[in-house]
Amino acid sequence: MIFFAKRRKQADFASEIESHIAIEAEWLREEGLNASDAQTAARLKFGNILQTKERFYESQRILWLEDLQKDVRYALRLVRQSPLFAITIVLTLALGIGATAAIFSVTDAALIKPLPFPDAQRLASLYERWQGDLDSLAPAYYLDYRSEAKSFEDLTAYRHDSFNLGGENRPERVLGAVVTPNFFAALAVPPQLGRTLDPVQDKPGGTRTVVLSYSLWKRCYAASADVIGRSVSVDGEPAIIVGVMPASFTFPDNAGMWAAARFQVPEHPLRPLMDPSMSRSSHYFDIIGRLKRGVTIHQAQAEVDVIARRLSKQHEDEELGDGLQLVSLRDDLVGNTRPAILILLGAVGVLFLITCANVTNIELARGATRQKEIAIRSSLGAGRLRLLRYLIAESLLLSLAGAALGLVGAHYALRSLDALLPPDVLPPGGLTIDFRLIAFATGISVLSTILIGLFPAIQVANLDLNSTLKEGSRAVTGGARVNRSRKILVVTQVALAAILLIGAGLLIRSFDRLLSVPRGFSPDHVLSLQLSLPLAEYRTPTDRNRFATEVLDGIRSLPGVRSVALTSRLPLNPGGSQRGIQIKGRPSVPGGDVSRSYLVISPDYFRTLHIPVLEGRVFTDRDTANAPGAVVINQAMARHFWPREDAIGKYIKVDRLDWSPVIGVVADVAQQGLDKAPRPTMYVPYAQDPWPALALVIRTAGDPKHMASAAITAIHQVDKDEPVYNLRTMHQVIASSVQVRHFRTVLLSLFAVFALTLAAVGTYGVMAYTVEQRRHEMGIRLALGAQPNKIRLLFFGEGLRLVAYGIAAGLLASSVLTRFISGMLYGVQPNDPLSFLAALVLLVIAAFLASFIPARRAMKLDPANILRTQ
Amino acid sequence: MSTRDAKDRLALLQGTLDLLILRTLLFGRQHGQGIARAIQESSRDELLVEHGALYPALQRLEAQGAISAEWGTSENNRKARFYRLTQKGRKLLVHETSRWRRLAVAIGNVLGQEPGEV
Repeated sequence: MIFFAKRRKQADFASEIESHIAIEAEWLREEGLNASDAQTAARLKFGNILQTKERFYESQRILWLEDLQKDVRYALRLVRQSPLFAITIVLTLALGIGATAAIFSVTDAALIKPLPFPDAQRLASLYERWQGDLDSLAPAYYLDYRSEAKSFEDLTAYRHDSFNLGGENRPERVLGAVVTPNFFAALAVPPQLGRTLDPVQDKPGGTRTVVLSYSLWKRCYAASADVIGRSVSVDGEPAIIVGVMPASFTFPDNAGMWAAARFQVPEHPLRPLMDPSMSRSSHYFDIIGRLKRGVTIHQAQAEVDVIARRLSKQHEDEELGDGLQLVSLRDDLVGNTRPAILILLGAVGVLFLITCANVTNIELARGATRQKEIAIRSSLGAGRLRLLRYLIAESLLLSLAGAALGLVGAHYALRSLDALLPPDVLPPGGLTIDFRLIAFATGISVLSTILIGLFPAIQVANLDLNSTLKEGSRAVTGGARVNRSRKILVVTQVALAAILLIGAGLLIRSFDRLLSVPRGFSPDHVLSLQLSLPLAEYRTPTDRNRFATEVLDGIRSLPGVRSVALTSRLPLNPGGSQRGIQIKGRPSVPGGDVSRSYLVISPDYFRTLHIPVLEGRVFTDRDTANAPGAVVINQAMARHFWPREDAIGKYIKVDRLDWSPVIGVVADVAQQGLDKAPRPTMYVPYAQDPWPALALVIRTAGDPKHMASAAITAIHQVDKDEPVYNLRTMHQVIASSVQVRHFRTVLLSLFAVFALTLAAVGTYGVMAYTVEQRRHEMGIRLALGAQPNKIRLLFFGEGLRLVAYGIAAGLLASSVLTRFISGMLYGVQPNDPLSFLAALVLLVIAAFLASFIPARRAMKLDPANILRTQ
Repeated sequence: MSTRDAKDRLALLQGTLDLLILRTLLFGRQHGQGIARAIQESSRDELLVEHGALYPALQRLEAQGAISAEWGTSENNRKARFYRLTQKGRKLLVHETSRWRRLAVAIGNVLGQEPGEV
């Protein structure tokens, strides 16, 4: 109350007292005193005017606020007195807080921030368990669950797709999805403009309706409102734009456009005009359900389990998975990065602790020299609480400065993290510094204040004035207790740094192992790009074949091109088509034998990527659309089906294709990812199964990047409306396939280097201080004839001993902790001796450097000088 | 002016000064000096208001919003700061008065009947 009320001026109060005395004097005069006596008596009667004024003053001011001002002023004076000290502390804190804030923001984006859908906790993905994996549901089953499961308000199906959006200028490749019309209603996000897709099924063959994302609307249509109802060309077909979604809605993945499904379920990408609704064997779209209010995911799971059991009895002859699995949408979307991010968060927490330990150490070092100052303040009457507050104000000031600087650093760090981070982890709009991040940084700086301020505060509480003042006079400061706590801090720092170093070492070793995995192809001098043929324009296999042949011929004739080929899927791209196959002479298993990786390629594919041919022959130009079928398989497939025989000449049947002989065996290619075992794979000539989605690989004589524009021109000479996307060298393809690992490795290594530096600085600080403290003693020793070398060894040994304790503790802790990151490792054991050894060596080198300089200084002390000055 | 010696007078109990100030202001606005004198007179010179206590008390009551103050002129045409009871102050007075009465009765009960009242 008093705080906000209008405060009275002291002068006002003074005049009130004056008037009081004047009135008193007047009354006294009326009672018969003369003027000057009355005045004196009135003053006397009032008593001590000054004291009353003081009491007024005390009651008016806000004591703690003024004390705080004073504290801050002292703290600032301190900064001016020893700027180096302040800068060291602020920079250390800035690094610690900045790193923590940056990682927090990544974690926040991936784990904490709610999905941009209302009531997102009621959303769940539906999967089929299948051979230990989660697979999508076949259309007919989806429709069964949709009509039978009572736990859901709604089930919606969507399929990732990309569209060729025809515009006035160049055609645009737009990522998006084909969705059932209730997609937006199930996610409960209304459009920003227009409407969403009609609840009625769009008539097959009729004009499609599409909804645009906010960013596409802005980029391609200048955010104009009359875009609604406009007819555009999507994959060569006319379509009508009916709505625009808000900027926050880009699901799934960074979708730019949503097209209405042609049937009750999204159409199959390869057979867009065939109604797939009755199929119980093809799996190609994803399902999200919105649970009814009050229904838990477990209750829903129990219900679908019952339905699944009944359905499996009904359709015994069909291929069916091992039941249904509900996964909350959040877990489904961010689940796979959760352990990695939690580990990073742990690492950054460790880093933060090291930072605080280091700053505390610096504070303690100075605290020892400041004890005298504090003792003097205390003996002059400063209360303990007052001194505590003074110390806290000081560390708060430094912490906040550190936090501010750290946030600026985090801002720039986030920009570079943006580039390092795999896009599916990123929220739409990228990583940003927002209000919550600032609140977080402020929070941890207050936390650090408490952690940092604690030690000096304890010191103050236990300060013995007499001895401190006396000690000070003899310049032998710092008790054994303070020294011990400083040493414990160093040991802790070294131990924490050891943990981070070992973790980073394990990740680096994993990454190294991963990059040296045999890839099965040579990425040098190879450019890749992707194309997607609109089925409306390239309706028949002949159309697509003609396009492929013309493009391949066009690029092949470019100067500098060694060879060119196409494939349905580039290496190192997980997923892909799986087909049920039959092998001649073997009993067929219901539902297809096993689905294998299936690729369609042009004849020069193996030659272009330098994939070794192990047996038989590969395709030639004679393997045309009308030639008899032929199959090339990889080594994994040969070993799987014909472990003890020759695979060449055996007959395989894939889906609707004819029985075809195996004509060759090629080396395994890392198709699913470097850390995945190669799947049994079969290759079929593109001419015999021409896919609309294809990738080109071009082997060049020179730098493949220089071939890009010529290749695009060659493609546009065949079809000027065909968008070319994902132009990358094969080295870039490899890099992006290991992006997540690379990110983690770089980040954890940065932490480790940072921790190592901090630990070294911490050790150096303690050692330098110890030398300073024992100058007097050393002076006497030297004067009595001690060898300077011995003195050096004494300090050197002490530094190394401290670090040795830290290393021992760190190694011990790591042997337990590294188990938690075993999921992130590849090809190395969590207790990999090399990683442990490397960390050990690094720490010993750091310890050596950190103790060497102070120890040398101790050796060079001049005894005469020391004894004279002290 | 009274000639009674200050040490014969009763010292004010802690917190009672506020109550007395409020009560005094019930009859209209008054300045500090007037309040002190009114209390002294209406207590038949039993109570002496220390000026060193009066002004902090006024200050406190003003801050609480029980009284408000403004500069004015006294009957002798002298500038003085006048205090006035606010609505809140009236409520406080009623509340404090009944509290005080209860307290007085309770203390009276504990101490027993006064000698000579038998």
